[in-house]
Amino acid sequence: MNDYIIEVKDLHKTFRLQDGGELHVLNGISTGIHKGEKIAVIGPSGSGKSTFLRCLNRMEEPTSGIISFKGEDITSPKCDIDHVRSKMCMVFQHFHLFPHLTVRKNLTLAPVELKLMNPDEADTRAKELLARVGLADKIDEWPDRLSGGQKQRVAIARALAMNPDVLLFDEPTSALDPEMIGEVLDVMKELADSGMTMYLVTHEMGFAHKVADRVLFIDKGIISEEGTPEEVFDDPKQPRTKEFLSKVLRR
Amino acid sequence: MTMRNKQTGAGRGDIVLGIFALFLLYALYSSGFFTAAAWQDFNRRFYQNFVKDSRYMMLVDGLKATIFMTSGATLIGLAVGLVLSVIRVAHKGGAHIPVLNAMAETYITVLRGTPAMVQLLIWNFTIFASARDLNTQYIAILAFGLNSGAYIAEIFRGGIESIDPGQMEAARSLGLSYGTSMKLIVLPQALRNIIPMLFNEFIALLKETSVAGYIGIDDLTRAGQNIQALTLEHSQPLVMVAIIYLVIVMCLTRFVRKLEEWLHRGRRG
Amino acid sequence: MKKFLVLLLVLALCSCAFGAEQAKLTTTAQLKTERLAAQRGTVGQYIAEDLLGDNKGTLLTTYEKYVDAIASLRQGKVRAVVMDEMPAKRFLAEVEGLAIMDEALSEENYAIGFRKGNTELVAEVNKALAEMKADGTLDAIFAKYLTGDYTAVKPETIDFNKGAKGGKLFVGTEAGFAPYELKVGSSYIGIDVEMCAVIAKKLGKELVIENMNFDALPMAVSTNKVDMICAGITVTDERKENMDFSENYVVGAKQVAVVRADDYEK
Repeated sequence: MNDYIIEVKDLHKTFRLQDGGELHVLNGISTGIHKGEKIAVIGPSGSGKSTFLRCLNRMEEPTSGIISFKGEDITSPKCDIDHVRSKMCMVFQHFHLFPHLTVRKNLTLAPVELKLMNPDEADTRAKELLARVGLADKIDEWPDRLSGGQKQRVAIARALAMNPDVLLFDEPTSALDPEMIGEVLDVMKELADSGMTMYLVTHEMGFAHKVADRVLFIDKGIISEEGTPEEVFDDPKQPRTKEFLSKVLRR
Repeated sequence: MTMRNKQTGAGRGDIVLGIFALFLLYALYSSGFFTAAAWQDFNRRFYQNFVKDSRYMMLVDGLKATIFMTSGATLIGLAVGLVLSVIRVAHKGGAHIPVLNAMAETYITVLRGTPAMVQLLIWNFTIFASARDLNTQYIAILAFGLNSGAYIAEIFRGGIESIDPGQMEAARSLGLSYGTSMKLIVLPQALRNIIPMLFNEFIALLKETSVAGYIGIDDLTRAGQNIQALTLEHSQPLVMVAIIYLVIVMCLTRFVRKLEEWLHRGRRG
Repeated sequence: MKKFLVLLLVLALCSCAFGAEQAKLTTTAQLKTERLAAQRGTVGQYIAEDLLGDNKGTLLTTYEKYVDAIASLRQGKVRAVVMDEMPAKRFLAEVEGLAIMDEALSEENYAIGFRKGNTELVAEVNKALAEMKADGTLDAIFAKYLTGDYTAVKPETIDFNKGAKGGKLFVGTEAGFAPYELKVGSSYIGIDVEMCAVIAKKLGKELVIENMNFDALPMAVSTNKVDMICAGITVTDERKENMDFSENYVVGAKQVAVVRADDYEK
């Protein structure tokens, strides 16, 4: 037996196209993540790595396969998916802060609305988290007045405000200007060091190498190579992995 | 986004005022205003048309009827539009309601695809033919309201669909339900786009009700025609009616612009 | 290109010159090839159509209101307006530069219109009309409006028999046809209005006026939106096919051509 917090068995995802055709994005993925583990998911664009991540909290409906979270099958119709999502929060490439709410409200809205905290507790927690991501002074600012890097740090704080068991990062630095990537990675590194369980879809190979416990290389909808960062980055077995890494690392 | 194919108000205030002044000058010129005799004649006719026997009250009553019909129709339009847009957005959002959705779509297609004037005639002379004790204004409110509902439904839907789907995703990813996400995240943002367009719809409707005279409602336009019939004077009553419409529309347009600025405060241009 | 423009200019000048030298109107026979106007749905329209024959599509313009037709006459868009003599005389009194051609185009009778088959109401109204003709009430109403300034008539002086026990009598009209019906303030005056008020009283009903466009009146009475229509309506065979009429209350009302005074030579 294993003690996976999320376990995925034979996950398939097929998109129906406008012209009636089908696009097979995920072709049978089986994997899992332990509590406190950090897994980096890498692969060429269009390989299905983002779709894999989005299936984990059913932002995309899996076509077939089983995903269980803390032992519960979340693909079953009986599952309260909203509750699962509140424990498995996602950080998006484009931040998706709520522009009509202040930073404070962005952080406190969901915990208060879902009755996880009373407003005072949520407010205290928001202050703590903003201090943690280095934005304590921005608490009453509007999102549109923040830089990209600041937005993403607020988005991470917003996810943390739910006290999640797992964080899903969907290319969190891809939409950022280069000079802002560092500040976001620093926050993620600090999170990783604090023991958070993290799935990280990324193109930041250096960061993945430094932080991840395990690396999944997804290609054409399957995990084609898996191992520690040293195994995957320094001594890849598969030719596709070698080719991919040679392209991205040469930059 | 589909907008009603009518200019609602205008662009910049100065241009509006300029056009307004030109319009007025032309109206004055064409009624031969710029000679002493003509000025006296103008005054006499002005007295005949508006002052004598308090005839201006006919315009005041007409204006009341116009505003009453427009407001009533807007309220009905809001209710109908809300229901229709909820059906359409929910259908697109994954709720399985194909029959309701098809009905809503048909409603919108038919009501937007036929002139409001024709709909008004059908309501008055066919559907409510025997309801004679019913105030005709209520029939007009219903006809214009149901017509407006189709446009308002599209305004709501357009407003909601203009919001980045990422907003809904982000809200759902925090564990909020579809309804809560809609209510707290999507709708408040959509309303910023929707509210000014609703006022534009109100302005369009204000002008559209001018056909109500056809079924015997003495609205502002018809009041002008009634004065024409009394004094047999052609231009003055109509020009006055036009000026009243224009002043109202300009005030509303200015208000909408201020409202838009206020709604978008705190956001980076 | 230049030549073309010059040609266009010459043509334009020629047409202006011809326009200026155009023979003045003397007889109604000339109207057969002229631009005419009429109020939509009135008998004036039908007469103009008969006059113009095949040319009615290009030469006849119909307007919703008499004032619009007269305005287009004054602006030279049409050469004559075909209408009832009574309102025509009123236009002459109020608007400068108009004339009525001596020769009448036709003589018509006015009656009240009913939904086809509403014989009961027709009989009741005919009875009331007969009484009014016999005791001079009808003559008195005509006298009131055909002599003196009827715009001074106060609507409050007309008894609409408000709150009558026998219910309401809905009458459709088009209040732009002086001196038969006019809107003053929030109520109505005119020969038809006063006549209908007396009829309503005799029927024990309250008079309710529904003011709509003239061409909407036949629709309103046939769909039962109103009980009867009374708007100086001329009795024609064609109209008789679609509605029933009361006895005539006006006989020999002339249809005339209103023209510009400077365009008319007796």
